[in-house]
Amino acid sequence: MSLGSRYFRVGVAMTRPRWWREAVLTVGAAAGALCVVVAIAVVAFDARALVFRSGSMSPAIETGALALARPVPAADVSEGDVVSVRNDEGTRVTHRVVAIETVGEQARLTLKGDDNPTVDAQPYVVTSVDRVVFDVPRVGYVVSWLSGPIGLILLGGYAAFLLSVLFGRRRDASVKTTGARRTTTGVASLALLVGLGASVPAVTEPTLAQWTDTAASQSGTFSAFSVTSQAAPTCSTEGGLLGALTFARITWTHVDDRYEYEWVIRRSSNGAEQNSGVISPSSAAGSSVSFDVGTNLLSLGLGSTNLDFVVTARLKSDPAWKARSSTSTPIRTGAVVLGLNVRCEHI
Amino acid sequence: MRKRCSSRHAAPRRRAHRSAIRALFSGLSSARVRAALGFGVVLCLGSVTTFAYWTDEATVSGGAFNAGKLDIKVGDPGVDNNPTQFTSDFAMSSMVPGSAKNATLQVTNAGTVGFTYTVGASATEAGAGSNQMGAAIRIAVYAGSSCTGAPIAGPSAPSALTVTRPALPPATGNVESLCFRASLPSNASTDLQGRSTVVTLTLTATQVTP
Repeated sequence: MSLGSRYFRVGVAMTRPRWWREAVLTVGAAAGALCVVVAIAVVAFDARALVFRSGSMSPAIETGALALARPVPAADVSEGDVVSVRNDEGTRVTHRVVAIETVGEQARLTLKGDDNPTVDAQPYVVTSVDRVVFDVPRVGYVVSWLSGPIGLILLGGYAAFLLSVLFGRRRDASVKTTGARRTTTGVASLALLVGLGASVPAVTEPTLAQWTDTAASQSGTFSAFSVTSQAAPTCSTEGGLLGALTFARITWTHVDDRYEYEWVIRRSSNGAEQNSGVISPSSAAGSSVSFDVGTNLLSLGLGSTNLDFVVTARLKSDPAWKARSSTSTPIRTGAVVLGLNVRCEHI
Repeated sequence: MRKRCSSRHAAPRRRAHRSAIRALFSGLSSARVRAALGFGVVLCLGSVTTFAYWTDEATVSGGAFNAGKLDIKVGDPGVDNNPTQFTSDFAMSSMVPGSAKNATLQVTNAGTVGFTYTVGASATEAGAGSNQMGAAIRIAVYAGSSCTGAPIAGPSAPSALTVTRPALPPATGNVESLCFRASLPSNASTDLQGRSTVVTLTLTATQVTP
C-alpha cells in the first residue's frame, strides 16, 4: 500500500462522521470493562447475576434492577441480608431475611419482601445461600432486552464492528504501530476475553421478588348453648280416699321444648338412689310437666323414710348436655298395711 | 519564563506521574483497546443466552417484568380486611351438638397481577381441654356461594384448616366465592355449654410466576 493512498484513506475517513464510531467504541469499552469486572467477580466468587422481575423488594431494589449475589455459608447469614433462594415451585425468590434459626451448618430462614405486608409462606432451610452484594437499578431491563432476538442481532452487528476495528485497516492516524503489532494486540485481547467469557459458569437469572398480600376475615361469635335448670318442682299429696294409698304428685314448668328431664329419688340421709327415670315431654315450653310418685316406684322395705325427688334437665338431642344444677322437692314414705303412703314432706 | 523555570525544577516524581497518566490515556483512547474492551459486552451477554439453552434454567430474555400491584380483597364490596357482612353472617349463638351456620365470602383480585391463594384459620379458646369452643368447632369450605356438594376442605378444627386455591387472574370484577360452614359435631362435650369462640380466616395471596 503506497503512502499516498493510505493518507487518502485517512483523509476520506476523517471527513465521514466518526463521532458515532468513537461514541460506540467508548461506551462499549466502558460497558465491556464493567462486564469484565462482573465476569471476574463471577469466576472468583462463584457469583450470579440476578434480574429482578417484580417489585416486592422496593424501594431497596426496584423492578428491573440487576443485582450481584454470591454464595455464603448459612452460618454467615444475618438478619437484614437480602438472599436469593428457590421456592417449592422452582422459582427463584429474592427477599430480606427477617428471622434465622441456625442448627449446626443448616439455617432455617424466614424471608419477607420489603414491600410485602407479611413474611413468605414457607421458610427455607439451607446450608449455603446466595446473598445479594449490590444492585444496580434498571440495568436488568437492558440486559433482558439485549438477550432478546433484537438485542442479539444488534450484538452481532456490534461484534462485527468491533472486529473490524481490531483487525481492520488503521484509520486512526494518531496511533503509530506496525501492522504485525496491531494484529498481535488484537488477537491477544480477543483471546483474553474469549477465555474469560468461556469461563463464566454462572449466568444472569431472573428472580421474582415475589409479592404476597393477605386479607383477614373475622367471624362473629359462635357460642354454645347452656342448658338452664327448671325451677324447683312443687309437690301435692294426692289420693288416700277411702283407705287408698297416698302418692306425691310432682309438678314443674317445662323450660324448653328441646329438653327432657332425668329424675332420681334419693334417700335424704345418705343419698342412696332408690329409683330413676327420664321424662320426655312433647308439649311446648312453659307447659306443666307432672309426675306421680307412688308405692309402685318404691320398695316396701323403706318404711318411714325421708326422700328427695331430684330433677335434672338435659337436651333431647344430646343427653350428655345436662343442666349444671338440679332442683328437688322433699317426699316421705310411711308404711301402712297395704303398702307405702307417699307424702310431700319430711318429718 | 516562569513556567519554563518551574518545569525544569519540577520534582522527578511528579514528572513520572504525569507521563504515566498520559500513557494510560493514549492507551485507552486507542480504538483497538476500546474495541477489545467492548468485546466484554458481547461475551457477557452472549454467554448468558447460550448457557441458558444448555440448561433448563429460565432464560433472561422474553420474560415479563412486573412492576404492578398484588392486591387480594375480601367481601362484597371488597375490602382489605374484615368485611362487616361476613362478620355478622358467620356467627351463631346457642349452638348445640349438630348446629351449623353457613356464610359466603367473596374473594376479589383487585390488583394487576394474578395470584394463587391459600386460606388458613385460627380461633380463640382453642387450647387443650374439653371446654375449648375454638378447638371443638368445625369449619368446612365449599367452592361457590353455597355450601352444597363436597367440601374442598374440612370439616376440621380452625387451626387445621388449609385451602389451596388455583390462580385468580387480574381482571375487573374477577371475583370468586367461597362458602364457609361452621358446625358443632354431634359428640361435642357438655363442658362447652356457655362457651364461645371467634374464628379468623387468613387469605394469603402469592404472585403467579409470569
